[in-house]
Amino acid sequence: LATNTVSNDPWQDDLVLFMDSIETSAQHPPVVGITPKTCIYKENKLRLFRYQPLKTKQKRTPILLVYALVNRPYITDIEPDRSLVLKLLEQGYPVYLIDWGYPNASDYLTSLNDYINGYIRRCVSRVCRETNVNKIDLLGICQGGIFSLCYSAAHPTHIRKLITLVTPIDFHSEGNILSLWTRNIDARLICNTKKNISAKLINQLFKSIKPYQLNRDKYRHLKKLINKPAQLETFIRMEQWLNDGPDLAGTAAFEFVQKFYQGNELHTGQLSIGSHSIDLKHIKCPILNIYANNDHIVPPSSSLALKKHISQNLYQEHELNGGHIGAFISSNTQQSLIDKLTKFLK
Amino acid sequence: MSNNDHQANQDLMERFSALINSSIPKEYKQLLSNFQEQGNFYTQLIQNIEGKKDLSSFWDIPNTLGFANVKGDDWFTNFFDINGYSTHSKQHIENQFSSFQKEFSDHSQQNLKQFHSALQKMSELHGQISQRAIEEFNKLNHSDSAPSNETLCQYWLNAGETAFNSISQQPEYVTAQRQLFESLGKLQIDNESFYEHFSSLVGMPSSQTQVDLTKALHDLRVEFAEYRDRTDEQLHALQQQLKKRS
Repeated sequence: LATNTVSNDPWQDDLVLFMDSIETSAQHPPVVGITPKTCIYKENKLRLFRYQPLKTKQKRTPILLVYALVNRPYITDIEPDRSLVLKLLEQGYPVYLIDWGYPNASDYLTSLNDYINGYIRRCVSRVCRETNVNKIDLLGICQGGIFSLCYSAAHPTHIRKLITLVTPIDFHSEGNILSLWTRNIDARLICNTKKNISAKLINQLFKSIKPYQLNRDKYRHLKKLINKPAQLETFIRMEQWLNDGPDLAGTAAFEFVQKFYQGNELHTGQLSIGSHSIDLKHIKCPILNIYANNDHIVPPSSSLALKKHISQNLYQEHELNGGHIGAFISSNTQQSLIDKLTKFLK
Repeated sequence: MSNNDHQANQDLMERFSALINSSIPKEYKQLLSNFQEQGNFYTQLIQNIEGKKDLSSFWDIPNTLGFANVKGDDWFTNFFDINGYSTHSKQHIENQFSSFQKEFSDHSQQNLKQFHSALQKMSELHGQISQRAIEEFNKLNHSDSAPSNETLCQYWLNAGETAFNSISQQPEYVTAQRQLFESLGKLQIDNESFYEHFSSLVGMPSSQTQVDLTKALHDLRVEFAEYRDRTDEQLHALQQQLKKRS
């Protein structure tokens, strides 16, 4: 078939190969998040899942994964070979995950206080009761890391150990382009607090940080995957995940822009969430701060600022090679990540 | 293009259309469509480089990259796509404004002017990015005696990102983008005011009524969740006591 194309246009040859590949292998939509799990708690759009343990010696302390509001948490279980969840299950950890769901028009009033002092607090209680422990481990990713820090500072009782993964702390650190763009903006005009924020808008905002690379260039690299069905499926799963972001509750989005991107309140110690004053120095559990050295969304300098707030004897950090997402789903980094996590969680 | 080439091209397009209209999963259709679109882009880029034609449009952000050209998902529509409004509305945002323009107050007209002015400024800056990108690209291209097509595409990317990175962090760009978003935000508020006025004319509930209802629902949800959590906690404690006794 490749010889049936316009001879001086190599891209058309690739298009033919791609169509061949799709015709033979693309009979079913790519499946994501297939590790078996059970929903143990529902609250409005939120679902708290418990993953089915593997037949391995079980650790006592459960670990709760808290993902960001932007994008969906199934990135932690995107496919078996790249599943952080599965890697934790293989080590015998009881794994729980908060899925925030897709906020709709009735949810625009949901605030950071609702997320942190409401949803997370109730999920932590639920996991404690379910597993009959007083303390659990918390693993927060990106914005979920901020939520986990805020929760642990405001409610330190139930957290044994805390892991933050690609989590911004200093929003005014060098190279934080989103912060630069939003710092002086009238947040009330941008984040309409009477409505939700469109997921498409958020997606485009993130893509506009590297517009040429993130909008176009990835398809040039796709050419290399045409004859590799497994990698092509990974690419499609990632595309599906990227285009499956939920809208953001207007109130929480407004507060996040104002308090974090603009006010940098977590780093400057001026943050309050609901009736809780958030001082990172109130965190009394060991913290492992994992950052990615090629993260274009959360620059390493932003993550590393956490060290300034935590007692030296409680704080550890670990660098991963990769970008914001690749750091924890890439097969190249996952072993390093899981080794570090296992060592820390002992 | 010879007759054979023309026929081959037509066959290819027919096969592409057949696949797009087939029953394969939509995820693959989207990917195929993006792949074909990007292929056209790069093919045209290479042809223009070979023909020594103007390249500036290849770095034109609003028209080629994620703004106006990604299946209608442009910034302006998405800004107004709140609570899925645009998904359900067949009317483009420009039409929403233009059809009711007479009704707009002077204030709204002023906001529209600010929006156009901010858009113009952003267009100028995007023009600067294109210009800078061409310079970067020429530098890279001239340093290489016989670059392959793959290398030329890489140069395109490097030139674009370098130019964008330098200009998008300058105060002028940051201010222009801020003004653009703020003017869009003001238009959105005007839009809401207009619909508020319109809905009152046809006897629909006011937005305040909707806010009150949503707030009550929100409070009720939180109250119920707290009640349920407390009850579960008490039940759990009782179960634990019973276990100890037995």
